[in-house]
Amino acid sequence: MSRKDNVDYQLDLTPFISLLSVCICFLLLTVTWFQIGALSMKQVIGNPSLKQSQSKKEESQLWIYMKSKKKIEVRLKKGQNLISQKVIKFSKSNRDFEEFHDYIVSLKKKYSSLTTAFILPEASVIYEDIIKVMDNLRQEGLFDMGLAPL
Amino acid sequence: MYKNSIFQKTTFGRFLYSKRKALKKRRVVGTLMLTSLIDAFSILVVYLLMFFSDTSELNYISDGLELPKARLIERLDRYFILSVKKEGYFVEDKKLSSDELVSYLFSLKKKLEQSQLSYTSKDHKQTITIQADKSISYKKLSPLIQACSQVGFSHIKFAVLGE
Repeated sequence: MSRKDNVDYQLDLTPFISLLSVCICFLLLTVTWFQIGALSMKQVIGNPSLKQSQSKKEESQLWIYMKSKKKIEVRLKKGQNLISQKVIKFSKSNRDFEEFHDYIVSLKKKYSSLTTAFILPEASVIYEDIIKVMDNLRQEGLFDMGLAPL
Repeated sequence: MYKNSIFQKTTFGRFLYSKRKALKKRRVVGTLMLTSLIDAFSILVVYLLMFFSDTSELNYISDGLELPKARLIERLDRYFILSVKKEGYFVEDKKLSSDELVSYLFSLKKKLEQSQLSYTSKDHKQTITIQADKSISYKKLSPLIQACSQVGFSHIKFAVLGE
C-alpha cells in the first residue's frame, strides 16, 4: 500500500439510523407510562395459617381500626395484652397519613420484630385510605398484613 | 441577467458577478454528521427500553376505573383479575351481582384446580387480583373479600399505580 493511498474509511450510518428509528417506533408503541403493581394481603378471618401464627407465636401484632369519622386507632398487642394504643385523626390536610406513618416508625424502632398488622376498616372507609395505610405499613417493613371483612 | 446591465459595470456589480461565477464552478458536497444523531437515538432507545413492558395485558385497566396510588409496590403477576367499580363487580366486561360472586369464584377455583397449565402453581390457585376504584367504600369491597375467603383465595392482591 502506498503512502498516498487514502485509508480513511467512513462507515455508512444510514442503516443504523433506520434500525434505531424502527426501534424507537416499536418502543413508543409498546411503552407503558404508568406502572401497575400490587399490594398483597391475607384475609384475617377464617384463614387457618394466620390463626396458627396468632395463637402459637407470642409475637407483637398491630391492630389498626379504621373508623368512619376519619380516625385510626392503632393498638399494639402481644398475645392478648395491650402494649400501646393511639388514636390518630386524619383530615384533608393530612391525607398522606404523616402522623400515622411517624407513629409506625416509632413503634418499629421500639419493636423491631414487629412484622404483622391487621386492618379492620369500618363500612364507610374509602378504599384509597385503606391502601394508604397498607402502603405506610409496607414502607416500615410490616409485610404480613391482614384485612378483616365486615 | 446582469451581464450587460449598468449594475455590472460598477465595481460592486463586477465583484458580485465574479463571485457567482466562482460559486458555480465549485463542487459543493455537504456531508451531514450522523454520529451525534445516532447518539441521540441510542439515548432515546435506552430511555424507552426502561419503560418497556412485556406484561401489557396485565396493565389493562377497565374503563371508568381509577386505581389508588402507592409508593412501595410489588410486581403484578399473572393472576385472575376481578374489578370493583361503583356500578358493581366485573369480570372483564361481565357484570356480577354480590350473590353471584361466590358461585362464580367457586367455578373459577374448580377450573384452576383442574388446570394442568404450567403457571397454575399452588400460589396461583390461591391468589386473586382485585382492581378496585379508589373512591369506593369498604362496604362494597368487603363482600368480595368474604367471597374470596369462602372459596379459598387466601392471598389477595390489590392492583395499584406506582407513585
